[in-house]
Amino acid sequence: MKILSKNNDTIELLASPDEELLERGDYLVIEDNGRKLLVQVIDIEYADLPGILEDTLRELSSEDVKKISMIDPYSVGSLLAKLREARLIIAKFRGVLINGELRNDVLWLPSRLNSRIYKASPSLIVELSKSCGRRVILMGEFMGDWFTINAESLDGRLTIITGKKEMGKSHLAKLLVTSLVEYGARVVVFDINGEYKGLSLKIDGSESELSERLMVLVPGENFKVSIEEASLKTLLDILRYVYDTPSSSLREFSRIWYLVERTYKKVTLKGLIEAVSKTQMNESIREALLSRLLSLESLEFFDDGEPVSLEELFRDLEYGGALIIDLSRSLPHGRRVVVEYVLSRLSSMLKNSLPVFLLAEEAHLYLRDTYWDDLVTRMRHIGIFPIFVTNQPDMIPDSVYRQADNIFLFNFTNDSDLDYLAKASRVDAETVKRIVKALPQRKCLVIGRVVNDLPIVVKVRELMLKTMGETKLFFTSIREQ
Amino acid sequence: MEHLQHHIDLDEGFFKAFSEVGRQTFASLDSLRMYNCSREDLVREYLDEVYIGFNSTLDEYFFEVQEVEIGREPRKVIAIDTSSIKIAESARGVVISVKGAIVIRDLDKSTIVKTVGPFIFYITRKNSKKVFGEYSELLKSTNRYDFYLYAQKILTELLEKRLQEYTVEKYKDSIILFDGSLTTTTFNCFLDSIEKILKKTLENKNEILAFSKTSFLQISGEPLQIIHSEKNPPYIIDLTKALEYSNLGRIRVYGRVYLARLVEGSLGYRVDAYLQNEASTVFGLLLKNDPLIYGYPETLILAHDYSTFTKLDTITLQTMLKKMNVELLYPESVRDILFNPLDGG
Repeated sequence: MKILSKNNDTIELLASPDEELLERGDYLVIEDNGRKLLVQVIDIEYADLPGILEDTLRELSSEDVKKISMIDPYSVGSLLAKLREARLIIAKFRGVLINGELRNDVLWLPSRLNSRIYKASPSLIVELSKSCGRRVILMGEFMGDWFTINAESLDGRLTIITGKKEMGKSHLAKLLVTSLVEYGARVVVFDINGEYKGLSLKIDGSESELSERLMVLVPGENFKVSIEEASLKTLLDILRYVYDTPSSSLREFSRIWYLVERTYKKVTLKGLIEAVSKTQMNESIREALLSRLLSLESLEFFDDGEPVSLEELFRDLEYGGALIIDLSRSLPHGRRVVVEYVLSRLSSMLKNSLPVFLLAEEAHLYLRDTYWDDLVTRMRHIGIFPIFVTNQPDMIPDSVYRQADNIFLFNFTNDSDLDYLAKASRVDAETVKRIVKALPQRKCLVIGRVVNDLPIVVKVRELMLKTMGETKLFFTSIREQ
Repeated sequence: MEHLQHHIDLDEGFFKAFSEVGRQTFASLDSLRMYNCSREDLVREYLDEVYIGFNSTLDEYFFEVQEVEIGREPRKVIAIDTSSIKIAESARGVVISVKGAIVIRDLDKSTIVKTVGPFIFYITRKNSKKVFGEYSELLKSTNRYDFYLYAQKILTELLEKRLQEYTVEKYKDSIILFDGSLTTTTFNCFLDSIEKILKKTLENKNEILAFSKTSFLQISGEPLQIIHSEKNPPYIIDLTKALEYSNLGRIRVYGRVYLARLVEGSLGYRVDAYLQNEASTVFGLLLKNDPLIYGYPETLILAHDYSTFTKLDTITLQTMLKKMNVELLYPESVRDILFNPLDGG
């Protein structure tokens, strides 16, 4: 390999076709006089050779020729064939290696002709991408070697996992959840497809080591809460954001809440419905509130008889565990009610408690607009560290990407998705576009603090648990029957 | 069906001596510093021909226009072309590469291609006698520029004549197309070779048509290519008499010389013909057996394509020189280094 050119942070290398096979995301070291430059391969193209059009056209016209024979006394043909197949490797400058440290601020270029170019050893890249911490998560393979990240680099951070469907996002999310739980972290999972409950089972169907630390909550079934624990503020949020209740009705609801509290000493959903029915108020407001409260009642999520206390559940997870809230059976507005409740409760609970990781799958389906900024700013201070998983990157606001500390990017082929991600992620647009477009299933580009800002393409390892994320297929199902 | 399996069993030994001579010249290349040359091919027609202007018009008596009727008989059409380039040069010598191609349009219209070369020669004044033998006389008392130019020309002619000899000997009853003209001038010392080729052509009942893409022949001040007769193509105009009358023995013409306009709207070409049959019949057979592109035989275009050096060929040959420990200097880069920072390129 030889350096051809450098333009801003893009370095073009010429390589012969029989060079060692490279993959997008691989790292190369360019060494000259003891100094080393680290570059990352983002694409490989045919070299634009002088006269190649003329040559290819000639080859094209030869297709009609019945027989071609040659007398080539000096075997020029084989050398020509090699030159004709020359490759252009497009790489990105990642830094100059000085005393084992990667520096971006050093202005140095290796010699074009005399420098030695070779594949970086995985151990070097692992060392350079290592973030602080001692809680190792084995993530998968990189350049033929194991690749690990530290759990600490997810702590207090905003993490996004995105990619098109069936590329392995949920698989990675499960790997992160189980690893965090193993290290004693508390994780709340908004499970939109009901697939996380499988984490309590191994592939062979036996119970996993984590089974006792996973708690699956199905709203309306084993997850019912009391109105009183929800508090007036949460109820007002639910009425405002889920049910679009006008402010005049909300004012009336607050009045009713205090009235019930004074009268019955305890606020229940039944009490609230009764009070709204009987108290004197504008008929249209009464009707608006009544219809909404009846809708809440129909969800069966609020149960003042035998409520589950979120606080008590968390107490059970003192030494780490995951609270999996299965939203797969909930109606869209039901999901939003549950999420409003959980987030609101978490905000108040965590003031005097240990932080939690919040994994939200397809959060745009249940998270109201105002929560995004809240989650990435205020709630981080309270101690909620979100991990968003989505296959619609444009549904997450720009501002969230800009504040994301870690991004795990799986394959996207749609240009508009790539443009969106390229604008918002922590790495240059070309790297995102060229690498992400060609990623196979289970491989992702890891960007951010988790890899010390050195983009790494990782093949996510298998998880020996029932991940249940696979698509249910018609033809496979009838064969099994 | 035997003709379908036909292929050129070109004897490699035929060119072995040629490549061996080239190989021997490599020994003196080691550790040389040479300048890279531009890739312009040698345009031999310009060197071959003497400018001749006819001060007559087409309707004058010595221009005989013959109409051509498309023939019916299938004939094999074989085209030969060669080319050469200077790869590198220094004060001591020049590195020249030559290659050639034979293209056969068989009776079933299939195409067979045989390429020969590239051969590489390092020519110096010291080794020119050894390389060129009797032809080295042509290089005597020439300046360096002419020495390199003629060395290139002689090597190209040598290869071309060998390919032509081989073809006329190997094939029978075929139309054989050469690139250029069938003439000799004072600079041309391939007389024996040409006569040998023509003799074999007669023996094997072949017909030779030598097409010139460019010609210095002019009629009433107009280049030959754009001269029109009142008749519709295809037609040929016999210029032999006029040429003999005008050149006053400066060039020797073999066979007959025609202006051939074979397709409506295309250019006319000078064609030197050495034929067994009537010219109009042979041109008619060519029309039947080989497609024409702008009035020029496709087989000859293919031979030209396969023998021409592409830019990539040049790079490859320069790479070979580097492997032979020759340091190549690029005069343009030196100029760039010296002046670009000041004059901005």
